Amino acid sequence: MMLKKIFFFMNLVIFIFYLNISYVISNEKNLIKIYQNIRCLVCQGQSIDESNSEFARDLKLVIKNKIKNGASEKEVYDFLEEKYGEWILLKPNFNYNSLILWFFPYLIFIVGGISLFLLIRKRRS
Amino acid sequence: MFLLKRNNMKRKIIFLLIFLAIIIIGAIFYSGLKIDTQYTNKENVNFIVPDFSAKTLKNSKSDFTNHDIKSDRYSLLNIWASWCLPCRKEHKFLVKLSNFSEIDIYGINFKDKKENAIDFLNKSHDPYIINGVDTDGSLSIQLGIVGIPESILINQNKIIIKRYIGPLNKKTYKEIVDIIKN
Repeated sequence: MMLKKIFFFMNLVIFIFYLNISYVISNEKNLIKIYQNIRCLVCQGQSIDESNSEFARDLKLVIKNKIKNGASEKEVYDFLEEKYGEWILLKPNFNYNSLILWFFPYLIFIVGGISLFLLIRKRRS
Repeated sequence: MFLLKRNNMKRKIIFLLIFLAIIIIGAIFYSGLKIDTQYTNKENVNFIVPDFSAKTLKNSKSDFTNHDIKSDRYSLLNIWASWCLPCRKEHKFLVKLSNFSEIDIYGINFKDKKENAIDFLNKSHDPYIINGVDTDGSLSIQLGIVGIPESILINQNKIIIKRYIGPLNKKTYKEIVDIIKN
């Protein structure tokens, strides 16, 4: 009986510990995902996740606090865009100016597919 | 004979197309070499000073907020630190500017030791009306700052009209004087 209680208690502890850790890890992963999409403005071609510059460290701290206070990923991006402009986002926003940028790969895919299809059909005949 | 000629023609066209493509790609790459990829936040102007609040350097009981910036004159918000050598270099220009009645100089002390900052101000002229303290860099991000020293010129309507990245020099000093005198 005693042994059973101890066993149950140990399980409970492990379960809580596991929950805690998975919570922390998922939070950390989410943070890193955001960091990887923020351009380190004082470095060349790096995200703040890769950079250890003063600017990147400050930004990471601010973002971490914002997320801790319940801000969503989009709110963080909006905040930084307001302060530093769209250039700070490594993934450009979907708007009229970036339409070609977003659709060009699909366009090439479709055009290439059609021409490939036509070529193969011609060869067969 | 006819078939051969047609083949030749086709070949020529293909060669021409490849040649054209190489030239176009080369031109794009060459012009790409000249694009400046260094980011500056100089274009990030023409909006009202965002809300902020910071402890003051000399009197930690009262806060320095965006409401302290007066609306009947120009203001220069200077981000500095005693450990930052370029900040020392631009200091004389700040002192000179503080003699003008048309402009107020405010400071944000960036990640500095309080004693060092106060010591620096005591030893040189203190151009600042109020100095806010930014201990972890979060205030600087609020203001959209990339690195220190940086100075933000604010007009009478509390709109940020210009950013000076790096230390002020003779040229930028003159520019500021021209702006506030007009």
